[in-house]
Amino acid sequence: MQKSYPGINPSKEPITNNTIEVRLLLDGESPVTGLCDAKGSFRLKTDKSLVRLVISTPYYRSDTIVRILKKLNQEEIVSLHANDYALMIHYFSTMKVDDWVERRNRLDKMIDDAAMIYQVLGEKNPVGMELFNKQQFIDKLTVPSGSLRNIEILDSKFRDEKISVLRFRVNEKDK
Amino acid sequence: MRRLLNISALVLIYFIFTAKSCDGDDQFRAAEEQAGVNSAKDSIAAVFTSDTLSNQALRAFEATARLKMFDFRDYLNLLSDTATSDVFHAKVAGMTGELFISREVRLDLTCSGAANGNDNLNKTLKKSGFKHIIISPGVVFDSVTVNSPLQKVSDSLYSGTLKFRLQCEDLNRRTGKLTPDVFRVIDIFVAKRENIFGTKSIKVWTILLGDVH
Repeated sequence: MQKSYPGINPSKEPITNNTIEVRLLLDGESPVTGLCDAKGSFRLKTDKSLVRLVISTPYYRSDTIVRILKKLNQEEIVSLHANDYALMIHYFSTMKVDDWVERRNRLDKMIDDAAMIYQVLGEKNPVGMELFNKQQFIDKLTVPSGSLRNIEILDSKFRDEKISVLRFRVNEKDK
Repeated sequence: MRRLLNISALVLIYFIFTAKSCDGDDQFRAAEEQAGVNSAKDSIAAVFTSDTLSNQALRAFEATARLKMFDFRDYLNLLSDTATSDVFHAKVAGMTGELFISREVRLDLTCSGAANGNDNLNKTLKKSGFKHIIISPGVVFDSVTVNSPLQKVSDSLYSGTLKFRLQCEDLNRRTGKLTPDVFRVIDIFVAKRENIFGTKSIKVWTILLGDVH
């Protein structure tokens, strides 16, 4: 059986040109990981009638999807919830600062007090460059400087609806 | 009619007892979320608190040191801007201090004696704790490269140097032109610094700037 799982956000626009990782969870076996194509589709061949998939992509909340496969319906659309905080941080890193106190307050509400935020270098095998705590990251993000422009969020984890772990890199080419 | 009501009641009871619990799902999701956060934090802490640093990590810290030099340049520009508030200046001066291994560092960023150290920029930095600092007005630096790579000095310290090009606004000519460029060298260090994450304090490897030569 073949199935396509295009990653779709709630506005029904396909998630394209973004890395979408799909982990197929199998009973009694290690998960099998694959990537969606540039159009956001994932093709799965299986003889199972029920599949469990963990889908993760930057700027969207990771989700575990359980699907009962039907022979007549070979294509399915999966909706992911946008990670508004990650989108906002990216937006903050690209905008000019006019009201830095307001920006600090908004970030303060978004980020967990014990958050670990780290910057990585490189694309294929990213290496940790710097580790920020909440206050250091807010300071860096609200004071206009070159090094934290155009942040690309690679991964984020939440606790009580607040950012608890954030991994990002800076897009050098856009600086 | 009575029979119909009994059947309806039985159907309702069946649905109530077989309905999936939202609370249970939420609790499971929260526990899963917490486990993911803890595991991610443990692996991050392991990278930044390791006993030794790999060559790859040292190269990444050198790249970070270059970015810190550009941050330093941007902070000096912000501190030179008299239109911004004192609160903002104090914050930027504090962040400038955090870029360096200590506020005892010797920072001579002058071009052919163009500074007397009495302007607002120098005063603000001295007020924030820098003791040996003299910076020419309108200083710019770029072309930051690794001069000597980071090498291990002790179990808790690595050191190296960066080279950069320094120029200042030519105040004598007042044409917006820059003074002839000079190259300077700045020390860089990777040392373990106390960093606070919520209520937890851990010592993490951090890249820091040092004296300018």
